[in-house]
Amino acid sequence: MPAAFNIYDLYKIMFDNKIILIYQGVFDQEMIKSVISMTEKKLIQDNTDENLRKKLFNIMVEGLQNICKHQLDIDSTENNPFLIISSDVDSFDVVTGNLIANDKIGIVKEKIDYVNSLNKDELKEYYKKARLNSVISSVGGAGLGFIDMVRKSGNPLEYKFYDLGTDFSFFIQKTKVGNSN
Amino acid sequence: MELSVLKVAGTEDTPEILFDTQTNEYIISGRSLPEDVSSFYKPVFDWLNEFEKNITSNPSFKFKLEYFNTASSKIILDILMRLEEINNASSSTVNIEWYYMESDDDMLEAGEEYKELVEIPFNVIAF
Repeated sequence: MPAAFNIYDLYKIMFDNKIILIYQGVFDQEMIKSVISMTEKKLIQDNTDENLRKKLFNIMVEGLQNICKHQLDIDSTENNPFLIISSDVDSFDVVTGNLIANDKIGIVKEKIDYVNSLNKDELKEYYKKARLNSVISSVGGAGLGFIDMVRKSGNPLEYKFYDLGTDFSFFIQKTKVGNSN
Repeated sequence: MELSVLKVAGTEDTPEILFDTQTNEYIISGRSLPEDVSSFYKPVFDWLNEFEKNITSNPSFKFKLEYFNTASSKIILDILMRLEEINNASSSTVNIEWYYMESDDDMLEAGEEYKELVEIPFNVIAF
């Protein structure tokens, strides 16, 4: 860490934005288990509503396993995937970021825009159909993550692609998990 | 051929599995979010292949899951469809009991969705 870096500034940013967790680095199953168990403990301590806790757990698993299965094996220490969780009174924001090849942006965008456009009943039908037709991929995914995240959170998925000026972009995705739905 | 017991201890990311023809108990319980669902659940499908040839009583397969990820959701559907096949091919009746915690609407809905997809005696039960 550069000496000029002010730890207090980072703390202030976290505090002001109600960030309870920031992680950047390797995403694997062990990391996912640790982060989830840590978050769960904190939520139990804070007496967070059980249903909200389950939904957050759900969104975290899908989001993190998505990255775990799709992270690019690029020999670079730059642009690690990250996870940020912030909490408000009755909701949590789960934000993840990971590198994506520019030629994959279109398909990801199309997938998310489509699930975001569906209402509750349409999502249910789409999930059922997609699950029936899905095949577990070589990386162990069923291709159902985004649909499930919209269904369980009850909110559309927000996203952004940051152009890095190379063949890759940074894919930032935010899911709001609220208690009201 | 004697059908062995399938017993897998639960962990924080994989469910406990107990399939036992001696006690006539068949239960999958806990959390399912393994890194590799296909390899984790392979023993279940292998066991079911043997079970199909040895089925005698009317077994009830209990699913008592607290949480499962989307990849597991696909595999659970595959297990249910396999049980449907076994039920259809056998003179025994294979039952499904899907348990959900009373307050857990998502797990209730998951059970109801599976129930619509397979033609097999299927009970969704609160606990």
